[in-house]
Amino acid sequence: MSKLFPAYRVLALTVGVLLAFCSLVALPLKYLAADGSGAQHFGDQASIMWVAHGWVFIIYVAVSFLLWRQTRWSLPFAILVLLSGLIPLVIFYVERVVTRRIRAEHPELVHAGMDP
Amino acid sequence: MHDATAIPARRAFAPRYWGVHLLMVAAVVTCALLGRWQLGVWHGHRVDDAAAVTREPAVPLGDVLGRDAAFPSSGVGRPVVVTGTWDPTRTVYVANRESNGRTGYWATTPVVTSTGSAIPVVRGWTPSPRTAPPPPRGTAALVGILQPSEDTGSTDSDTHDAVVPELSTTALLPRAPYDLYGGYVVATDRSLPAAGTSAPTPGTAGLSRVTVERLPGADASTAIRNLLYAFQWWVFGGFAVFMWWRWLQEDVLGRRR
Repeated sequence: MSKLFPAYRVLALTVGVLLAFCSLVALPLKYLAADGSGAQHFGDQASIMWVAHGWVFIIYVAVSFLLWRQTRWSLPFAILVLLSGLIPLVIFYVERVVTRRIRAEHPELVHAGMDP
Repeated sequence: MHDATAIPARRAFAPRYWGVHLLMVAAVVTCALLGRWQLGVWHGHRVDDAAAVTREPAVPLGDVLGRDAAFPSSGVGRPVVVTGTWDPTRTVYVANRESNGRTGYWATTPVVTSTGSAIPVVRGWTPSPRTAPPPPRGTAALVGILQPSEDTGSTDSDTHDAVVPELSTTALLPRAPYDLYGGYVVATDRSLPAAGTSAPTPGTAGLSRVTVERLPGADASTAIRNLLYAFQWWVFGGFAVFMWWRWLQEDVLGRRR
């Protein structure tokens, strides 16, 4: 499972960007921009990215779960990692914390493909 | 780990874990409901899409259905303008029609058009032919929703009374001195499209509105996004159960994968 940690980081950042875009750009434009304007139309079309966020989030949860099995984190911390993909911007902070903890506590997960 | 020192399964029911179990149940129920909601939205969009044709502007009947033509599939649910003369003497009552949970009849009177053929017009729903208002006479001009003839082969127990089991033009032909179009219209109270025309005479007075049932199916891709959302929610709910189960097995009961 040496690719697990890099996969987690990529997924966390992807989920973060998608959620930030959908909730902070597409959603406000769709509901707050003037009716019929180009901005509102863009917001409406861009809302398809919610589908992408949903699927990437499910994969993020699966990978985070596998990482949790490897690292033996406490249940509350694990739930935080899993749910951080649902609140805009929180996941960027949580990803930093996870990275710091793994580098400190599980260096074997960081060095992908290198023999001990 | 020795079997004798293995953690017994009942540890999973300890009060300290009740919160987590509750959280899992809440997550599963929430995901199930959210999935159901999205499924409903998907279905609603499809129903709306199917009825879209009934909201188009009305065109003359002859533009859609010729007097001797087979019913075109593009004509199902289409609003058409019917003009001609009512033939009240050939009014029939189509049996076994539902309206607001009650069973009754469709009061149907043919309109003879300028082509010489007549088209049955479903004027409305009535609980009984005896209490139905008298059929209209004179000039007819109305907007109706076009429907294909019903031909399920139901047999008419009495071909001499005014009650028929279904609105089939082939079954009605023997009763009429004129030719019939290959379909019928359900009358609406919509105003006629041409500017400056007089008010329509749909003959609907005293009768309950009939909901058009035969509509073209919705496009397969309609609202597919909502179907995907529903599926996502259920996958997520299932995964929540899986995570809870693995946590229980490994962290609580100490059974390594």
